[in-house]
Amino acid sequence: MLWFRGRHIPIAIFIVILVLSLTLPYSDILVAQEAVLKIGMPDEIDSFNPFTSLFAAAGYVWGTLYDTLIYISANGTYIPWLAESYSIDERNLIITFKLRPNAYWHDGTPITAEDVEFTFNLVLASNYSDKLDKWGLRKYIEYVKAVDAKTVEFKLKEPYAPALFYIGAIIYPLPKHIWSKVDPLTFKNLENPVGSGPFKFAKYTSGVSIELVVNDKYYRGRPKIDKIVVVLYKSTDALMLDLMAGNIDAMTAVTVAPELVPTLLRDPNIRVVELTHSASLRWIGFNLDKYPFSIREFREAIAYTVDKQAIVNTVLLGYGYPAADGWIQPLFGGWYNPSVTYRKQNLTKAKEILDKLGFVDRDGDGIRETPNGTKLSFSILTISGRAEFERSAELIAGWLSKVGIEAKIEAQSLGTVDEREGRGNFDIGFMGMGMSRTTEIDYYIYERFHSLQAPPIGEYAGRNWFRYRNPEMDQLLEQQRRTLDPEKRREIVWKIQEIVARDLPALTLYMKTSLVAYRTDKYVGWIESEGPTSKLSVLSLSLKGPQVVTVVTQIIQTVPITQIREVTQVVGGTTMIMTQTQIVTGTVTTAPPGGIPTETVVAIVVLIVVLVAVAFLAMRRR
Amino acid sequence: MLRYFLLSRAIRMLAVFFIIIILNFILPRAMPGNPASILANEYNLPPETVKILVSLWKLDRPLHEQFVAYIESLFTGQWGYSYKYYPRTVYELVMERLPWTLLLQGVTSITVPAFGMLMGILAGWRRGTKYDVAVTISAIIVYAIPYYWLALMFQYVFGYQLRIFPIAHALTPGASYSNFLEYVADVLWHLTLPVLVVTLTAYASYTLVTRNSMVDILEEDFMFVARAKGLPERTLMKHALRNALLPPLTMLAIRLGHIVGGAVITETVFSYPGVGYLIYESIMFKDYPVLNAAFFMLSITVIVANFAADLLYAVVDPRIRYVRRG
Repeated sequence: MLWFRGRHIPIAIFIVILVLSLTLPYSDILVAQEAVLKIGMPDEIDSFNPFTSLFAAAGYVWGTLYDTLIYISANGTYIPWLAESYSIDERNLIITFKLRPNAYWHDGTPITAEDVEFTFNLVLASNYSDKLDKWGLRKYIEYVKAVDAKTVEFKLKEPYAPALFYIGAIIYPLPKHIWSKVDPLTFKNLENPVGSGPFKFAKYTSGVSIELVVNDKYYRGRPKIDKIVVVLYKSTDALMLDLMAGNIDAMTAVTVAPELVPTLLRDPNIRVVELTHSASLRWIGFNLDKYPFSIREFREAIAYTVDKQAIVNTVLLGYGYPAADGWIQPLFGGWYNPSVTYRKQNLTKAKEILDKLGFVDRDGDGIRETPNGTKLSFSILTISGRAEFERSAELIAGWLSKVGIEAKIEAQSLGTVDEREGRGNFDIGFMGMGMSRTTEIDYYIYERFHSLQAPPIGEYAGRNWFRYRNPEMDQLLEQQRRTLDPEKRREIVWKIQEIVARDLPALTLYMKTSLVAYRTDKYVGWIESEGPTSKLSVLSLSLKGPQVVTVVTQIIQTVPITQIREVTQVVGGTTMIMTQTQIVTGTVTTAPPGGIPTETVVAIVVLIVVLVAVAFLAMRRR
Repeated sequence: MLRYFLLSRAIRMLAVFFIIIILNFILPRAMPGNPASILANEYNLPPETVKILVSLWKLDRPLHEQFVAYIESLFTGQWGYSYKYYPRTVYELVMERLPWTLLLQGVTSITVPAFGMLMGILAGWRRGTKYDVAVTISAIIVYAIPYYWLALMFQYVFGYQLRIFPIAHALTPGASYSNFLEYVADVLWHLTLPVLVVTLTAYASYTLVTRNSMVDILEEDFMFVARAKGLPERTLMKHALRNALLPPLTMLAIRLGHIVGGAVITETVFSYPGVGYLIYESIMFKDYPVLNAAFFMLSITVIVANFAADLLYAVVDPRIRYVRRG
């Protein structure tokens, strides 16, 4: 007989009892009937200190905890937010914000001009400025001054168009009574951060969630949901499964993979939305300090080999669109120059240009040579582990080979790619970046194309790593910064696009649209045009009450600027503006109970029984 | 004898330890790319910010100064500030995650060898029977299943279709507990799927090794003699076990050495808040302080686990004795 036989029956029984007893108290763990909105977010929050946080997703939590002076809606409108109103003087040098009279910090202290002055002085004129001024604002802002309790004034050194964006929408005013007592660089702000936004900090569980509870005294009216749980994920697959299972209601800072869309659409309670205000640009940059990429016509020939639409169709399964050659994309509304489109694939034209340049195949191996005999053989540098990048690069290499240019794909780690591109040790670099309408246009062009950002090869270049140097461009970039008249500034930005499209320092490929999904079975009031998890959308959400049988949902699509404004003003009031209404009748959905369902207990018991049975069978004597 | 052994081992460990400290500083910095510009690239930060980060993280200081700062932070400064999670200290980040890693790794360090060795012992004991064939073949099949795939299937079936286990996380996000028992139950509930998947995909190597060593031992002369003497099965099993368990014990020692390293894939798939993912991230972003602390911690546990395994051998296997050489 086996050596432990007979002894393990009581052990097995003990385990079963133990497991059962552990699950017993669970029957009464029910999430109270409060409106808890669960939003899935990828990755961990990097810091609760708004000055040191770099991660975009963390910004989502900031947006609910803290308010900025101005809120930028999805169509680029500047909505006075924590500020009741703002004005700019006729010389474009003084910006004045008038704060809301009824705004309070989460600890009950009124929000005053002094708090705003204090926050900006930390950035502009304190011992910490050289570490906190991440945007180089000190070059442009002379001072900030609290004029009275609710009025704050910024004086610029010279007209600077992006100033309103950075002052109004990027820097969160912080409570002076807390931040004046700490070192703003190393303050973790983890124990009960005091903010000004619609939700207050409740709890942070590392790697699991951030819990935010409603701010009852919010100056724009109490939001209708009671609690937000930002659920942190390390894998998008798990996030999507949780969304499908109804464990989370929406997602932020992550997009749905195109392959998943059909699966999601099968669920009547899930809506998939293409965000209108943000998408990702992919492009290839040429090493302009390297022959033959220094020849404009050569770059143009490469542009003619690329079929942008084909990449969108095959790699993105259609969830994107070909990018305009002038860097600024239609997404930016008025900033986009509609006369700048893109070069369609034309292999004959590409061959003609190459022939004209004297790049012909002399030894008959199918690869062209330059007049001095070197082969047109290059590498496309891309980041490993990004299938989308590699697939697109392979398509481009295929087209290049059709016109007699050999291209090999080098996929390396982000660190290596960044270092090689920065120091100019590459031929063609494949890159991507997110673009959002809510970000100031200057952010995308100034450092990207300014010659000051293009040091000689060997020195590290941050954004202008293709090393584009054009005095005319430099001048236009400076000029658009100084022009506050939107019409005149738009003309300059349009001109910049024409030059980029002509010179092609980098070839834009496509825009990958941002697909997001959310559930409609628990909440109503999602504003899709703003993005389901945007501040405006979350503020308009309310629970589908069990007592309500017929509910009217507002789905606002492509709302003109004026209506967005109206929506934001009545949040918390009684009426909602809607352009399209939809009647949802019937099914009352009750919140699923939290804790362990009975099935789990059954499953655990079955599992243990099976294991014990297998063990017994296995140990039976032959 | 034992004292001499311990002393020589301790000196060796110390030497290894110092070499590790130095390598630990050099290796991450030898990888191409600057942490600040990698983050800038990933998060689309302006060049102005990169300059600030470089000075904030003291990357512009000469290397010897960085080395001194590194040594200081290792022994006094909570292992320094993380780059990505600035201003949180590495110590804080690791301590937030380490309990979860120890829980997950601790439980699987019991379930995997226990289940694997049990299957292996039984298969070896009944070598050549249908049972042996079934165990061996199923072990080989399971061994070949990619972990990631199996995890996803379990999440889909148990988490999404049947909804009996949570899809991800170590706790229910946003839950509040009225007593400690509820908390424990929630932790165990979330632990089930990861442990099950790890056990299923990792047990096979223990099974195969144990089975083979069991078969070998059973063929030995002393076993033949023991059987001829008419010793009861239970005693025979005991004899065989003591000898057959040496190779799987070595595997276990290696596994225990990596216990604090976490399980990157498990943590990623199940969004489990352990140190494995933190280390993975720190490699991606070249978060030097986190990397240094992680490898420091890892190497210490590996050294200690090796030491423990050496001692354990002497206990398990009387043939091994510590003798002064020469």
